[in-house]
Amino acid sequence: MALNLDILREIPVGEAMESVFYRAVYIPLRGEPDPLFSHSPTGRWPTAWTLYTGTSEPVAWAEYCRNHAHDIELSDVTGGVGLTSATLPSYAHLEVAKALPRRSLYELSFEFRAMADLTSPWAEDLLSRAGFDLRSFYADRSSGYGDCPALAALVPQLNWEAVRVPSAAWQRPDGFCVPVFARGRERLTGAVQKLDSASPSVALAAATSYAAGERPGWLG
Amino acid sequence: MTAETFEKGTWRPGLERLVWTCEEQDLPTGWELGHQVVAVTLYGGPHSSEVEGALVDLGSGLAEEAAAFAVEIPHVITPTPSLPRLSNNLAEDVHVVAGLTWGQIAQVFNISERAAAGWRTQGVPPHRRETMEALRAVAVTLIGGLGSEGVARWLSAGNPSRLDRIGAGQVTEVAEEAKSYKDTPAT
Repeated sequence: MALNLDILREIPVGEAMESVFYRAVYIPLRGEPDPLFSHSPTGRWPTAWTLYTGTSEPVAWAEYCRNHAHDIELSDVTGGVGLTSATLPSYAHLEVAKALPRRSLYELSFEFRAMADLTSPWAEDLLSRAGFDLRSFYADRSSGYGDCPALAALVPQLNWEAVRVPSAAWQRPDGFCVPVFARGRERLTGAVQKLDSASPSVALAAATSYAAGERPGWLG
Repeated sequence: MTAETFEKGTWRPGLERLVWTCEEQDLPTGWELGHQVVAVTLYGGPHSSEVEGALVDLGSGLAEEAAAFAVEIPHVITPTPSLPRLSNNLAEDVHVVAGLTWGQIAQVFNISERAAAGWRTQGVPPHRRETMEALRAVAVTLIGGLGSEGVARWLSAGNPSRLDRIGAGQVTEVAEEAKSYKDTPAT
């Protein structure tokens, strides 16, 4: 079902309350990591250029883990025993890196003028009325991410620079995803490399929400 | 409203003052004043929005325990691995950059280890070049984050391993998996 553009236009946009976002960035063989590289159109919110960021560092790492669950499965640090409540404190601080490439962590600062917060009750109501199934925020890749790609396709007409949405990988109230679109790129005011080379911790990988059937077995 | 209205064991005296049901037509609701209910919020957890009902995977109890640690320790800082230089010798590059033994390279093509090692001096046969170039491209893509040893693990871990899959002809698919690491999309 097509989404109702007129209703979507009623979703309020405003300057971002949070202007610093986090992103785990690929480390190349030579040269510096490029925090603005986007292999679009990919992911839940595909447009010609979508830069995926998180409102907190755990969100950035969790999205990375969810995206590469298979390689986390191959990075078992427990030697096949598996993580339990009893062993979690011992393993929590270890890195998940055997088969999962390390990343740089960047803080990206934006001064958006048109960021749509799709997590507000008002926005959710309008989304529903426009025909957007709210379960799409958590729909898996195997189901085509529900209505998210259809909404992303309307971003140029809605003039959104970025959206604040729930994170399927970090389903907790302290973190959200902020996909930044082409119009938002010019609102970038700073990019700071906070970590040269790092891996998600075992605790982070264990706290991540994975797509159905993809949670690595050793994470319990 | 009486005690019978409630499920057994959930009623206590005075509760009727706190709970209103639609059966009590004589009590004011605000409707008679022109008020309308436009939103109802149910408090029962960290979220109060409609999306709460859509959550599909809040994780196990272990995931919740891990979250407390994860907020404190989201990452582990790791030194950048030493990175070998490309030599322009295709066989040598796959051996050194991908960290693969000659035996592992031989297994991909179902040939002897000695034959594979000979490619270092004799050159890679034309009908093997495409696969070897793909192996080198995968290694170059991943080595910045994994180092040579890590690339070898990435290729050889699992059952079937990615090396097995390359040997079975899935070169493009494995190369795409490596390339997917260049971005970090939300999924």
